[in-house]
Parts: sequence; structure tokens; C-alpha cells
Amino acid sequence: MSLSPSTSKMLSLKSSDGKVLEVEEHVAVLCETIKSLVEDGCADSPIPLANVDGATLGNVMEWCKKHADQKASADDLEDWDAEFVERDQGELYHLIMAANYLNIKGLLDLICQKVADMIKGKHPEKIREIFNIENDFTPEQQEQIRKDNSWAFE
Amino acid sequence: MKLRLRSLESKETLKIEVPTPCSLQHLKETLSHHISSSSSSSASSLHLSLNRKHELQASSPQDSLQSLGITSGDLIFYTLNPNAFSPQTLPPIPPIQDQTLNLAPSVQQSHMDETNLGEFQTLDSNTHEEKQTLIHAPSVQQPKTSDSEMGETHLGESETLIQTPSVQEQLSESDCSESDMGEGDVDESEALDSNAQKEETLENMDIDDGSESGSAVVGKKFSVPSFLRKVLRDELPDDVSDHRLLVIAVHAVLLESGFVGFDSVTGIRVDRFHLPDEWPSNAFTMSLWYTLPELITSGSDEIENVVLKFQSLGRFVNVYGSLGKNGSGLHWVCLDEYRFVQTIDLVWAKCDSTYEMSESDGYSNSNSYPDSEIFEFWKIVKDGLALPLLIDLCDRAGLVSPPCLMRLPTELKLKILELIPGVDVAKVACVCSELRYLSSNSDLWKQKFVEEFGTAAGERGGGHWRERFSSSWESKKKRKRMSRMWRGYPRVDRPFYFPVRRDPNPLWIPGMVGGDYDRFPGVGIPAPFGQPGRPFPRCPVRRRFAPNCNLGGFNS
Repeated sequence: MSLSPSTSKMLSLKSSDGKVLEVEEHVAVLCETIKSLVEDGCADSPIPLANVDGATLGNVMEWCKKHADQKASADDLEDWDAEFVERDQGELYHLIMAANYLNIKGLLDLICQKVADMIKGKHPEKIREIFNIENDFTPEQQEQIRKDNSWAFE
Repeated sequence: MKLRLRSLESKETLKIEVPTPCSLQHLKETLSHHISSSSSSSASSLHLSLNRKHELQASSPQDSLQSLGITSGDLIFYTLNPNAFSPQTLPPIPPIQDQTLNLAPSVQQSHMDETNLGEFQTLDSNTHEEKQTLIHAPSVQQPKTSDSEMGETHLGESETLIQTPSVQEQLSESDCSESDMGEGDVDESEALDSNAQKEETLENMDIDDGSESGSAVVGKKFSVPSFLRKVLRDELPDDVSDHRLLVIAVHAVLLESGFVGFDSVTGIRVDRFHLPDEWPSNAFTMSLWYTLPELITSGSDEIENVVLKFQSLGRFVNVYGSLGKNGSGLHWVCLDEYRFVQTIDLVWAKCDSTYEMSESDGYSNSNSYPDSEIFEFWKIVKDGLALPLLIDLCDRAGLVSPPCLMRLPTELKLKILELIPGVDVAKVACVCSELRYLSSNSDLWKQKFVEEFGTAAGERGGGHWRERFSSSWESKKKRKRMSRMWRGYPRVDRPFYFPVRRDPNPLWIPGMVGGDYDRFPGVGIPAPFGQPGRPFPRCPVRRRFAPNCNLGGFNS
């Protein structure tokens, strides 16, 4: 187990939809937002997390738990992370929003990298398709943009 | 009789045995005795429900459980929250408060139930008796006898509810639905049939997703297979053609994404599609309509919807999705039956065995089927079809659309742009006006420039990082092309010639090697001079010996 498994205090986190999650403190403090609350001594009552729904909070804490585990080797974590981000877009975006709100840099970087990988090497039309983005350029704009960025297309 | 009572909040399931003539009041007392650890619980503050929505109510407290339609083995939900169950009407979203989750893998499972299954659960209450009747309809072929028999064993209690004639009627009614693809019959006639309420109570063992009670060993990945399994179990009668499995699996993705079935003719929500029993083995086409629950309750006459059209081409099934009204925004995915059907079938075949395993709390089949394929399937359909359609539909109907890249805060979009290479940022700029704006950020391009060409190059001059990036990129590209050309030339000719040549004629001038000079002598070699005096007849490389041959030919 990790540093102080038996003495680790439990924190209650309350999600936007009213679910309460019991998390060990050393896991929860991976979230900078929660860490500062703990340091300020404001973490006694269930901590309300108005921007995170219960499902996402569960996922986030799953990640935190894994990353709070001191035994996990870097390789392990990398593999685990790679599997962790194998999700559909909806979940990924909820996770990004939650990681941003809870200020978990590692998780935020991980998910953003995943999204970046989804964009990488794709043609604009494909990007529109994947992320369901509407092409709102006028034909003239389109022409201009194409010209400006033609260097990027082989 | 034995009953299972599950807390709406904690999902904890109690197994309680009560005497066979048992009143509702007695059940509540027994239950409150079992959960006496929570001090506030008393028999009167307990609320029971079979479907998590309607509270079980008896006309008198002494009414037997049987008169309420409860039989042995049923799963009953209980809560102390007086507002959790509605006595009469269906609340759009079951209010669930203060759900305590443990930070165990079960979190995944339970929130799955609350969020994704939430919508689906509301369907169940009205659909199960339909399923039953289909399963037991005598006319149905049963190609998979073993599976169907397993199905019947755990559906056992409800066999008395066969209503085959009425279902047949409903099916035939639905046959005249104006599905433009002809065979896509959508039946809505059974929707929200309130008199089914009593019968539905018998079905709650099936509503119970068998994996739930064993959720402590179920990891994240199991939410999807168990959801799929559940939909398969609800939707599939006995015949399972590959097409049908695939269609129902797609249907499951749509349900999980928040859609509900919908009939385009009557504008009524459909809780379960009556898919035709007979499926052509080769080609088929069919259409299914979906909408969102919010849109139905909004009460407008014209309900926005989306339509899925299935079209099989050999082993592939193309699924086209578009807005129902004018068919705009076409999305499609192509699914390979060879690839996915087997896995789906495996999930489906596991329905019953899993169910039984979970009964003995032994649900741990984490390795028994390749769930990665299911996830692949899920992702393809959800990202390629369900989510784009959801966004289109929300957009059309003016609802808040689901989370997507464009709805992320700007700072996060920028963060993502920072993670992709400069050349891809330029492509992103071509996607839409907002991304164009974001990707014109000078700091971003400075970072890209330094990444690509190094700090030294970045220090010279200032501003216009994007332009500098593109011109540097161009010149880098040019340099690359040049060096490729230059390097390509000697590699083909010279290194090949010099070392290999063991020159039989020391007087031969190397200057002739390469280019036209090199080729020239070879041209002259053929028949007239070639053969007679060729000194090395076995040599495969013609040009190498050409000068000698020529000489030999003339001299000898």
C-alpha cells in the first residue's frame, strides 16, 4: 500500500447529481482543488463538486487511485493510462472538464494528449467528421484559408 | 417466498425470506428489521418499488404480495426517500439523492446504472411482457434451442403471461407502418400501456441487470458489455440471425447515448422495436427512428427525430443516420459482421449464465470474452453515429448539446492545439472559423516554431510566427526534396558501378560511367556484334561488359 494507508483519512466528495463518493485523502489530494481545501481545513463536510457528475467523478477517482499507488511502476502506469483513455468522446470530454475543474494536471495532460492524437495527421474534412464540427466558412474564406495553409498539405 | 430487496441508494441487495402469504406491511417490517443499522428506518418510512419509479401501493396494508403481482425471486427496490418513487405518474428523471458510492470498481457499475441505464430503465416496465410473449409465441422458430431454453429457465415465473394473440395483432398493425424501406417495421402500439403495470411486476427479475450484485469485481470495461447484454436480452427472442444481433447492438448504443425509440408515423415513443422475425439471410434494409425523451415531453406536434437506415452488403452492414425531417447531416458507419457478430453473440449467450453466476455472487467472467472488440464496436457506433446524431438533433431542437470538442473552454482547446504538431495546427485552422481563430494565436505558433526548428532559429527576428513557421516549413520541405534528389542520383549509379566493377579492361575510362555515356555502349550491344566474341557469357549484367564485347566483336 501507499504511504499512509491505515491512517489515511476518508473524504466525502459530492458530485453534481448528488452522489457521494468516499475517497481516501491521499488519493483525493491528487486534485489540487481538493488539496487546497484540505490544507485550508475546509474538507470536513462532504465536499460539493458542482461541476462533476457522479459517473465522471468515479472515473477521475479511479485514475487518482491508480496514480496515488506508490507501487505502480512508470511502465505500468503508462499502459494503464493508455487503456484508461480508450473511451468514447462523450466520456473523454467529461473527463477533460472534470480534470480541469479539479485541477489534476496529469489527468488533464493525458486526456488532452489523447484528443490531440485523435486530431493528428487528419485532413480537415476528417476532423470535422470525427468531432462533428460544421464547416462555417464561405466559399471565399475557404479558398483563402486553403491558400494560406497550402504548405501544410502535401 | 424469497425476495431480493435492493436499496435505491446504496445498491446493496438483501435476500429476505418471507412467509408465503405475506402482506406489504409485513414485508416492510421485515425489511426495516434487516436494515436496522440505519437508525431512521422504520417500516412506515420505507418505500418500495419494483421498477424504481412507481411505488408499490396496496389498497389495504393487509393485501398480500401476490395480489400486487410479486412472486418469489422478485427484485424490489426500497428507499427511505419519500419522493423517490412516484405513486402515479412517471417522473422524467427518477430523483436519486445522496447516493453513496464506494471507491471500489463498483463505482463504474453503479453509475452506469444511474446514468446510462437510467433512461433505459424507464423503458423496461412497459416492454417486458411483450418480450415474453414473443419468446413463447409458438410460431417462432428456435434455431438456438439451448439458449432459448436457458432464457426460459430464468424467465420462468412469467410464463403464465402469454398474450400471443394480442401481440400478433400489434405486429400486423405495425406492418402497415409507412417505413420507406419496406421491411423496417416499427411498432408503437404497445407504448405506455398502463394496464401492463401489474404484469410488469413479474418481470423485474429481468430488469435486474444480473451483473449488478457482483459489481465489486466488475471493472470499468464492464459497463458496456453488461448494458449490451441487457439490451440483447430484452430485445432478442429466439432467432438470432447475424443481422439481427448487429442491429440490436447498434440499437443498444443508441439507447445508451440517451436516445429513445420513436415511431415516425404516430409520433409516439417506442419502448421496443418489433423487428421482423424472419430475416433475409443476405440483403436487407430497414429503418429505425429515435428521438430524445426531452423532445417528447415538450409536447410539440412535430417531434424532431433521427432515422437510422440499415443496409446490408454481404458481410458488411452500412448504417446511415440522419435527421428525420429533411435527412440532412448524414453520418454512416460500416460494420463488419464477421468481426463483431461473434463477440456480440458471445455476450448474448452469456446472458443467462452470467445471470445465474451473479445470483451466487460469482460474477467474475472478466476474461471470458474479448470485450475489446465490443468496445471497438461501441466506439465506432457511438462516435460515428450516435454522438454526431445527438449533436445534430440537439442543435435542431435547441437543446444543450452533449459535450464535444467545440464546447470545451477555449483554454482547453488551446491546450489541445499545443499538443499537436504545427503542420496539423494548420490543418485544424481549415476546419471552422472558431478553430481558425484559435490556431492563429501567435504564442502557439512561436511554440510550434521552436519545437520544429529549434530555439536558435526562433531567436532571430520576431512576430509573425505562423508565417515564419510556414516559410521555414516550405524551405525545409524543399531542402528535403533537393537532398533526396541529389542523394538518389549517385546511389543508383556510382556506388553500384565502382565497387562492383572488376574491370576487365583497365584502359576503359571511368568518365564514361553514368548518364548517357554509360547507357550508350549497351545500346550497341545486341545481336550483330554481341554474341560471337562475348568473353563472359554467363555474366548477367549486360552493360558492364558491353565495351569489351564490342571490341571483341570487331577484333576477332
